[in-house]
Amino acid sequence: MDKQDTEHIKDDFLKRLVGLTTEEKPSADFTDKVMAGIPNGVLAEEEDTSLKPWQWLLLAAALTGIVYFIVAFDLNPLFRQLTNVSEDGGANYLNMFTSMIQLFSNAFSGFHFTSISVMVIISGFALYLGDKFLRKWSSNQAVVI
Amino acid sequence: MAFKEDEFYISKVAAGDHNAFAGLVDKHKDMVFTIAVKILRKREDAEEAAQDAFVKAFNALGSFKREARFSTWLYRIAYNTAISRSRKKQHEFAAIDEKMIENYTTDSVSKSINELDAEDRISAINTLMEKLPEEENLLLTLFYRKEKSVEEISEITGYSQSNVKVKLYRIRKRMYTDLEKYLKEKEYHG
Repeated sequence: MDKQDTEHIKDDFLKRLVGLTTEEKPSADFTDKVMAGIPNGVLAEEEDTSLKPWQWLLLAAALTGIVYFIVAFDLNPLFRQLTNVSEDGGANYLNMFTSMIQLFSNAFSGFHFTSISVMVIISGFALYLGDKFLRKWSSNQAVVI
Repeated sequence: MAFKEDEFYISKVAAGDHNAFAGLVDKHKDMVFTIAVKILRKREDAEEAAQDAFVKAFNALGSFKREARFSTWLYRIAYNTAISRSRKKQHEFAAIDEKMIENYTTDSVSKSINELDAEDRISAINTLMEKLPEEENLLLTLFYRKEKSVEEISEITGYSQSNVKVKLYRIRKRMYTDLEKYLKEKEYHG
């Protein structure tokens, strides 16, 4: 921290004065009382369950791959072959599955990046980074009027 | 009593020697108790809160990140425990008459205080500190008595560093104003 930053709160006189106050201490058997409340047994090391950045990336890549696979390939013939259902068999669940894939494909069919959307994404990201930087910087500046 | 580094006790506790935790309690109990007593004011409540904070710290020791400072982590637990027991975290500091504090003069106050005998000086500062709201009293103690840095106070209380500095600045001004008032009253009655 900048030395000048705390200059307005430094005060040796007040420090000496506060140092004169009577300091209360915990009771003599304080430690024993605490230790009586300490459970026996091995202390469990808490596992860090949060995902690491590379795991997030892997997950994102896997999801993108699955989505791409569903959208890019026509799975109907394969599915019919596996389930041994004829084209005009009319199994309801197959039609339902087909229409779901179709719906999913349609949702992505018009999905493309224009230069404007790229600019919006970059600007948004830049604003986010700028905001983080300014917050960090401002927290180090004491503004005392 | 000479204490070892916190890491020494933490490693022993992690290895299964729970009695080693007593070393950490002995080392930090005064500070943890100070935090609790400043917030709760009552000695009995503070003692219970401080014990509770140590037990919480023990149970959470597995999640303690070794790169952080154990003392700050522990004091934060103590602060939160005391605050939740007081059931009224005071984000708002007591209103200060800004016009009034503009008139104080540090030199005149310190001169008058120095003219008092030692017993009166101690009595004056104890009285004034008791009148402060709990959190102001704690911040004053942490910064001016325990010599904790603004950064550490910020980590303990959860206030931003700027906020801590502004609060300390106001508390300092308030102390001079109150001291001046105290001295005038004493002069008037004495």
